[in-house]
Amino acid sequence: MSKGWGTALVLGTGTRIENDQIIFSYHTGIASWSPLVGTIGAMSDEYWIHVVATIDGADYKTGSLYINGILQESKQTWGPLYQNDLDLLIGAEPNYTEFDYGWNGMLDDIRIYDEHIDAASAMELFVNTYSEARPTIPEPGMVFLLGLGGLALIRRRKFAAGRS
Amino acid sequence: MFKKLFCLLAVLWIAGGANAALLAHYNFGTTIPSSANQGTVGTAANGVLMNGATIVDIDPSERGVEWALQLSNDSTNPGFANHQYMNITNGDDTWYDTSIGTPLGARSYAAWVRMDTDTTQV
Repeated sequence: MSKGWGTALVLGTGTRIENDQIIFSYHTGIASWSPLVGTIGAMSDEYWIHVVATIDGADYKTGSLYINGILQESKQTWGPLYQNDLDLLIGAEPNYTEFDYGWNGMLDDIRIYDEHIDAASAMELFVNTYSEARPTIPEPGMVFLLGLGGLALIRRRKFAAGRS
Repeated sequence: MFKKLFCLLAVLWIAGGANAALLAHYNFGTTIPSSANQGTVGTAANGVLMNGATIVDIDPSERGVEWALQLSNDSTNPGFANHQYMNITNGDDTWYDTSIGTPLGARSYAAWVRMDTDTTQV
C-alpha cells in the first residue's frame, strides 16, 4: 500500500523474506525514510499476517507498527509526511520506474482510517477480522495470549462446575 | 476451540479503545467475489485492478465465502506499470487527502497479507 515517497504503509519496501521482516516506511519530506521493522516467526506462504501501521503523536511524527495485534516498534520521525498528488496503490509503488516494490502474494480486508489506532484497538482488529480461511502462524506473544485465554476458560468452567 | 479462544481474547482486549473512523475498506467479497470496487466506506474511491490482478477464492471449505486480492509480480520486469496492483485513487486523490488531512493528520492502515515465499518481492 503506497502513495509514493512513503505517504502510506509500504510493505514491499525493504520487506525481507530471509529475515522474516515486515517493514513500515514513510518519508517526511525533510529527511530520509524512517522504517519501522516487525519480525514474525517464519515467513510462509501458508500463513497470513495481520499488519497495522499508524501515525500519530505531536505533529503526527510518531509511527507504530503492529503484527498480529502485537506492537513491533514505535518511534519518532523527523517531521510530517511528504505530500504529493500520486495515486494510492495497493501492491505497488506509484512513483518509481525501476524500483517499484510490486507485491507477490495476497492481500485482504484492507482498511484505511483517518485516526490513530491504539494497542487495544490493533489487537481487537486482529481478533475480530480473523478468518479460518486466513490462518496465522502462532507467534510467541500469541501463544502466551492463547494460553492465557485457555486458562481463563478452564477456570470459568471449573467455577461453573463448582456452583452446579 | 480456536473460535472460543479468539472470542475470549476479544473480550480480554476490548478495553474501551477509541474507535477510529474507517475511511476505506476493501474486502473483496465474503459471499461472492467482488469486482474489487470495494470502496465501501465514506468517500473512498472504487479500486481498479491493474495488469491482470485477480480476486481469488481462499475458502478452504470451497463454500466460496472468502475472497482475496491476488498479485503476481516479476522482479525481472521493472516499472510499476508492468506490475499487478490495485489503484484506489485512480487519478484523483482528493478524497484521500481531504479525508485524511495529508500531510498532517493521524492515520492508520491495516491489512491481512500473505507473501509468496517462492518468489522475490520486487
